[in-house]
Amino acid sequence: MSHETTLNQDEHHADHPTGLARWLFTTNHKEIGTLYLVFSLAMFLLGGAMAMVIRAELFVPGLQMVNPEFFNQMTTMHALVMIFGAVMPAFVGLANWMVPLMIGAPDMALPRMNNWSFWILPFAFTILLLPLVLGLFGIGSGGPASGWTLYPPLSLQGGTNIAFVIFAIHLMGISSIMGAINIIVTILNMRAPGMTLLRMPLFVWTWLITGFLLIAVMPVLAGAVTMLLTDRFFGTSFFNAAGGGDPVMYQHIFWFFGHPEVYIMILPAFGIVSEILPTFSRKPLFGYTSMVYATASIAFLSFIVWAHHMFTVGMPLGGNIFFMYATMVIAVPTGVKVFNWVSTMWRGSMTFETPMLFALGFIVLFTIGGFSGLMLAIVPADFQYHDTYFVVAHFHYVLVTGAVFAIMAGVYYWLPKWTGYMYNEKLGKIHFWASTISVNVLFFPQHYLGLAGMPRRIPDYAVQFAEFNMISSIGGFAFGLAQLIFVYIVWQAARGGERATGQVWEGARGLEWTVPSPAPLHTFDTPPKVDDSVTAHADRLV
Amino acid sequence: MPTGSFEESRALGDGNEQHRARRRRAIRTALVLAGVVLLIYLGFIMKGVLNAA
Repeated sequence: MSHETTLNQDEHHADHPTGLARWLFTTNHKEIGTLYLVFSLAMFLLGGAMAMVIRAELFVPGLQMVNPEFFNQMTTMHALVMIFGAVMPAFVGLANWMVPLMIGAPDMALPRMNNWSFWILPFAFTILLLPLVLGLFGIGSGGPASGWTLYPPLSLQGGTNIAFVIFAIHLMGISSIMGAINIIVTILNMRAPGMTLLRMPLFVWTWLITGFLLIAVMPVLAGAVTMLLTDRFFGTSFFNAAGGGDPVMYQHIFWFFGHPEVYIMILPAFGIVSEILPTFSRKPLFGYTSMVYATASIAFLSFIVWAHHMFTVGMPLGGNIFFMYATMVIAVPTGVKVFNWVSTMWRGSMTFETPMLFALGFIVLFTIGGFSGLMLAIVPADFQYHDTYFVVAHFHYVLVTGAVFAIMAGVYYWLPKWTGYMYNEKLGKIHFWASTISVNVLFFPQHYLGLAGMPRRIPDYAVQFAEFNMISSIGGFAFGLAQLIFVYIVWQAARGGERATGQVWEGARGLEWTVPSPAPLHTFDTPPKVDDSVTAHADRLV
Repeated sequence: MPTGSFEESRALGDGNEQHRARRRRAIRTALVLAGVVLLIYLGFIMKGVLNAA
């Protein structure tokens, strides 16, 4: 490969805009990636603050801190902010930063659209949060309180805040769709010579598949909430039984979006873990091709399992059985992935830097979330578990110890490449252990609460649930505090410290590690030539 | 010269025919995908209309 050109490309950037204009008008994939990641971190802290309110209210039985209406607003907004504001933008930010670097492209294929994709988001979230903030000052009815699923008829019976939510969801959807289209066309059209599809890093593969998932399901959500809007404000009856509509149809349409959405939040996480494990095991990724097929299989299956969220709504027995078995089948490609990750580590020269710790934490804890998902897939069992804290425990193991842990792993892994400085490894390990212990104290007791029958989305509960709720809340506060360590580590690494080399990690392979650290603003203006020697899954690692 | 501005991507492409061709292909692919998005959106609303009719 010839990288002399890429190594000296920063010399002509003296005229690069500075200040606000730099960030408002940038079309550079690295800067837009940074914007996404900073926005995501801000939303993570905001959504986390809402979670603290929820856990504080549930610390002891009875109503003490907030009124039930505000509690419902907190559960609704916590979910919307975390899903659409924290997790999804974090993955898009990581894709913006890393996909062009990994495939040897000079930038995203459509840089101006990339700028729009990001800058729509702050406006969307301003609109989403506006009713809640105004409500705090006694103006209006407060934020949406019907749960993030916005099921009718409940969501149509509140105030006019539903209009804000729907407008915000449309904007987020436009942003996500534009981001997904950009990533897909970048991967399909901008790869360097020699970077064949089956030489692409797993993170790129998982994002290619995630991009198609986003394109397929975000318009479905948009269609559902458009119909909600016309039902609420324009007299239609899509979901109003009195007018000939069907509220159950909303649930079908919502979950046709909602279940693939779960995989939108977890497939890129699989990609990150598949990048990190070979580096710190100093071995090529085991079963690369099967990983690609397993990812595609999971994406396909995600479209035919949506009604497992609706077993208790009522459907024909054949439907129950189909959705139960289809859901269980997802365990097969997921099992292939876990097997390949373990096999990658098998007899490797493993070291346990912070990214590796978070990747290992992901494998163990995400698998717990997967197993509880299998339990929920069993129809007769789901009748018992549905709408209990067991479900809350399940999806938080998937999304916090799954998606969020993978994002943390990715940030620690690539931070030296972004900033040019190594982060504080000791603090990173403290962050990992504090997070891992507290997140289990937070969510594991919720399995038992659910099995004992505690319903979700309630501000008060019977006294027999008191002990486990108190333990869970203590874990929640500790997890929240632990994330402040993360903020400090990132801030510190952005400001200075030990200089990072271009390769950063001894076992790292791939195009992104052939450019200096920090990565210059412009890389691969001249496309590199790619062969097996630079791919992480090639079996020629030195 | 690349400046990080809106002109940057044009500048990057203008000097390189291969890059420009790839961008053109990318725009065509993006338009097809945008069409798919629109069809799915309208299709699900049509499903709602038919269901309520």
